[in-house]
Amino acid sequence: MSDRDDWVRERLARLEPPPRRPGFDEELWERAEARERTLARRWRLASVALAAVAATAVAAAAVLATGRASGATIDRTFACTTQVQGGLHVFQIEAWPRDPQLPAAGVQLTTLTQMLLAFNTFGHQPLAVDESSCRAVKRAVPLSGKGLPAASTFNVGYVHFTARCLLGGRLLVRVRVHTDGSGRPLSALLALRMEKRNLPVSFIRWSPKRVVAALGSRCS
Amino acid sequence: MEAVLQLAARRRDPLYELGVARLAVTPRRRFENLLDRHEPMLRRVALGMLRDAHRVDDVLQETYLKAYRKLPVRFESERQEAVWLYRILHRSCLDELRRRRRRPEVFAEVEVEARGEEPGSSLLVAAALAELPPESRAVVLLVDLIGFDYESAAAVLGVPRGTVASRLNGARRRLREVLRSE
Repeated sequence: MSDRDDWVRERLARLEPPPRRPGFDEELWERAEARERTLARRWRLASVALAAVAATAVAAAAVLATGRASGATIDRTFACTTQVQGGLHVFQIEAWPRDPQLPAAGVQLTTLTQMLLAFNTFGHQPLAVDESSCRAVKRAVPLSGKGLPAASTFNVGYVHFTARCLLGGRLLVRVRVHTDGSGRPLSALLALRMEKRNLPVSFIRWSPKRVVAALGSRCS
Repeated sequence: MEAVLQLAARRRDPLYELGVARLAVTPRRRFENLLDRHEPMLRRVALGMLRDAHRVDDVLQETYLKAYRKLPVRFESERQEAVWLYRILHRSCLDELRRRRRRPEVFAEVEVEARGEEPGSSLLVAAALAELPPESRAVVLLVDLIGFDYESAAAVLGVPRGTVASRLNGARRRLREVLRSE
């Protein structure tokens, strides 16, 4: 910080910062919220499209088969590697009930630039998992929100529920999805925990009509 | 939620602490805190880059929107935080200058405003900076106004340290000539 030229510095110090125009803050936060809503919509539409593509491109994602005749239940547990930002493992949960502007309700877990796990009511596949980040494990993960703060409820038409979580290591996800006869998800429970210490991170109860989400202190 | 927190605060309830702590770490709070520390200098740099005080708010809004969307979970150091923020501002200013090149009539109006100002006034300093190419303007503002070292300025501008040094020499020389002739 010692490379300054004093004469020039003294002149530049006369630059007076122009004052904020009235309503600057309000305008900024309105624009930020509008932009987030637009991005969330685009992201969800993209995930729906991705899920549709994944139905034919089985190589990238493991599509878990179900009995087609009378519905089925998938109950799997995965250990997922998340991407690191600022020394912490980061992932994002998005869950949305039915919305008139979207073709599907669903849930997705993503890390910074990758999708980890997703399902939605658009396709006829109950669950898509990125096998390069997540592998199936045999670990006991309770499907409950025990140890987490009170849950919040989001009903039909809620635009954007998203939470960003930070962990010290890998993520443990147990997902139980109930499907109809065609493989379309009807309801689901997701329990997210830290793999190392087995501490609860989040618990989501999803259906096309309602999302109930409990978030631990590692999420905001 | 507000009412619950107020009640908890009166009772010195741990819930109050928990609520306050959780509110304090929301991305918006973190971002507002970041702006509190940097905004006055960001405004000066934007004015120095653009010369036009009327466009500073628009460019800062764009900068803040980009920064808020990409706000990292944490910064390794204050230097990293400042470099990250000024890099976004720098790019937003260049975008604005490119747009302005397509609308030269706006710039002509501002030039007229600078005439008849007191020597060394804010407007004349901004006018003198406008005599420099944008790349040199950015270097002199980063080093001589904000106080960045060459490495930090190079990181903001995405150029080698040697380029910063050579641009800075030329920019200082030209700035002296212009300001002394006013």
